[in-house]
Amino acid sequence: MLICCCALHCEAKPLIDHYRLQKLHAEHPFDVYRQQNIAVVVSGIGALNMAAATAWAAAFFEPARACWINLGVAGHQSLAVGELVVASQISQAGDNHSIYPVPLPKLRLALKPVISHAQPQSSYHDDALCDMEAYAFIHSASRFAPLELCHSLKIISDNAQHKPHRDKAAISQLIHARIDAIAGFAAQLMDLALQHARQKLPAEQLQRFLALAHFTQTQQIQLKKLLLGLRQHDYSLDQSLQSIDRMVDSRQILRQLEQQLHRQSEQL
Amino acid sequence: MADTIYIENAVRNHPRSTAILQRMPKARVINIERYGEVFNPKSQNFRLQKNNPALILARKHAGYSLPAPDGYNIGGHNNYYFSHMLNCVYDCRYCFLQGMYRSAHQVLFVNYEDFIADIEQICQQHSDEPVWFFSGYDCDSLAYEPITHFIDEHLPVFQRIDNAHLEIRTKSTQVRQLLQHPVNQRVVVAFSFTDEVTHRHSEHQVPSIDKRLDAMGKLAAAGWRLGLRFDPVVYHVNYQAEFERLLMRIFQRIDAASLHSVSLGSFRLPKQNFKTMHELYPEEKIFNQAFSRHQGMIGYAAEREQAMMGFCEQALLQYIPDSIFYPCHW
Ligand code: SF4
Repeated sequence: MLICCCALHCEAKPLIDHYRLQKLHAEHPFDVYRQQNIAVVVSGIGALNMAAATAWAAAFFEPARACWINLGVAGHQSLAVGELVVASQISQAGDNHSIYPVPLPKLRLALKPVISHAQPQSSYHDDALCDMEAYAFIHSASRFAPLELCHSLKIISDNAQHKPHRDKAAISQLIHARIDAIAGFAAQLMDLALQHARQKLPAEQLQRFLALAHFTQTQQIQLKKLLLGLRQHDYSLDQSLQSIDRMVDSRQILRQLEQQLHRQSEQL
Repeated sequence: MADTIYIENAVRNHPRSTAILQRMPKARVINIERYGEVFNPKSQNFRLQKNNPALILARKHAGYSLPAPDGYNIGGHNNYYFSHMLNCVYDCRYCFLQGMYRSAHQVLFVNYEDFIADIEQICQQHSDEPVWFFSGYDCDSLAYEPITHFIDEHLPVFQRIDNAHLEIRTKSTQVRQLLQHPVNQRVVVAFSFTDEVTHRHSEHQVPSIDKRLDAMGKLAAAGWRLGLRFDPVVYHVNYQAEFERLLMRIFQRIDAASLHSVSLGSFRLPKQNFKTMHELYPEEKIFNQAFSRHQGMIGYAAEREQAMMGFCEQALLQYIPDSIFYPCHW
């Protein structure tokens, strides 16, 4: 699943339109839009809001299978207004700590450092973009997903020639103009998240085996490991299930599965 | 080839960094303060990162050459290892580096001058004895050579210091630069092999056995001393027939007289490395076989290990003299 975190509605709108997301009407602390495996959360301006929204989204959605994008506008000394930039390094102004998102393969978009500030800025750094939320986002999101699956995308809204503004329609328009590139990036990231999710055992698969007998906590961990090993194909766990069909003792089941796994693993 | 290069500000203007950036003109460059900022964070996933590892250019500050672990030798008493790189361009599923580092990025320490000064100093300390240096402990010694020129720059040093011996351990076929140097009898180029079945299953992106034998043949023809490393031998139902077939292929092409040493060891890993690697690749067959634990290591149960080592040793000794054979038991 893809979870996008935006500070403003006008930043989220092009995503909502592009993916045809629906607003979730249940009462939530943040506005949320969703369609199947894509969701957008609108946090409000600033680091605290962004950190809270990201952490909330991690609890609300299924974070083990998610990838994360922070999309928003930022300022830069010289980059053209409307340029799409992927954050290569994200830091908080006044703090030495940086987080380095892992660039996607064959990425054709510009990579630049981003420095997040507590207040809107009127002057620019030499090469880094200025924003307010990227650091809070990545700091929070990378606690719930591997860093490879967390990215911040920024559209340049102002530079030394074009002063910052609050024209919501203009901000949406800038992002809308780059929506295909953003969606392409998101699709690549979702592929990577899928690859990561395949390393995990779906809960329903585990459940089919847990239903056979009483497993202690330690045995459940053993069972999960064995099933991950046995799951060479989609159908292979069905075969394993058949082989322990009438067993009701957890130790016996684990022993049988372990033997199966060893046998199977000796054929490279 | 990496498409992203992280570079420490301290080595941004180092001549070797400049040369490497010129050799990789299409790479995107990201400046960093210390390589640990990129290499060490916890929330990284080695397996995902291996899809597209970056190159990190950094300075090493200490510990250039370290005493080799006990049992890590090919006949010498003074044994040191050094790693100019951390991580490898290849992706062998049994490789302990997967369990060692959180990041799959490749770190290259560009201050070779400090490695060289350290080698000189260690050799002076043991001035009346041979000193062995093992390269390729935390990386493949030659795989990145066209970019790093590390061996290229180190060979003259080993030529000049009379008691310095070097093992270059590799699965690569990048021997072009090596062949441009005069042969040094104190340097052993050691090629690692597993049988064809294990190679196909576990050694992703590693050159084929035949290509490695081609590279060995070229070096042997030029007079270089060679090594063979069968470590790890991975268990599978056909390991015996496959190991014999591998030896046949090797010794059809390589004269045993050109060999300096041959080592052999079964698949084994420190417990923590094994655990990390198994978590990264839970479906991997070579981690899902029957293992036992012994003194902090995970490996095959004694009976299987002895049978494997015994069989492989016997097979090997049909081709090589006992005097150049170095088995590694655990
Ligand atoms: S070639 Fe050696 S260092 Fe490289 S991945 Fe394989 S085992 Fe590891």
